[in-house]
Amino acid sequence: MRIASWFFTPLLGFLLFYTCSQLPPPDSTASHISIRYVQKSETETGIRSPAGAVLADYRGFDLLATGSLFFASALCLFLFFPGSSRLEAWFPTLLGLMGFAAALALGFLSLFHGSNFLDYEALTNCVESPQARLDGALILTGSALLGLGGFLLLAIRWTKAPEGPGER
Amino acid sequence: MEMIIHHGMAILLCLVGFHGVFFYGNLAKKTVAWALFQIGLIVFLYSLASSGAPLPSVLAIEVASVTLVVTVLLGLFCVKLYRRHKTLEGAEIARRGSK
Repeated sequence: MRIASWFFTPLLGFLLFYTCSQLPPPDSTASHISIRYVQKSETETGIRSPAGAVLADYRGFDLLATGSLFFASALCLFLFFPGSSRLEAWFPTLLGLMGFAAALALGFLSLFHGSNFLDYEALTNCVESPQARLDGALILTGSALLGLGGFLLLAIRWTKAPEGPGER
Repeated sequence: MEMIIHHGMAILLCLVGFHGVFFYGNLAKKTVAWALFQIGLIVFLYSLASSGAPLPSVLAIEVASVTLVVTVLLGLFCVKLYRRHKTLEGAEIARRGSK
């Protein structure tokens, strides 16, 4: 591995330097979409900070996917601990995976339908609508926090797992 | 050339971290190296965010959150392994585990 490191590090260095040399100047990176985020985010989402609006609303599904990924990873690792074959370990795992699948299904329906899936009225009436964005942002942020909560649960379980060579 | 100088620190951190992840056998050093790699990425994204575009700053926030959480978990993992095996050398732990 040490030999591989001396080979791959210069290769990565070359790639990074080449990529940076191809980047446009910092002033020209503000594309039309960035300008829209800065100018209209508060009106469109109700969130003052453009970064907050992008994080929670415009790219809310990315955040949901990231949170779900954390949660799924935490659940997988959770099963490696002693006693994880018991029902009390499998039940939250299955519950979490079902929630993850439900969130993805709702996301798919939303994208397929072209409307915000949290705008229930518009969804049931089959009408395209950009309403209820702030609600959507709050719930998606909550989903991400739940994903991070999965990691915290894992950390607590990890610290409380028994010590010693024969624990598994 | 100007862009390379502008992002030089970020690239350097990334390279040091990348090299460390492969080079060190000690798990704590690997964790620190990985964190350095991630910090390089965050520095790179923040240098892009200086132009006022919100997307790089959002990405930087996400990467920082992931780095913090995963580094804490890796640290806990190192503590657990050290208490059990009294060493953090990956090869030694693997040798004992395969017995």
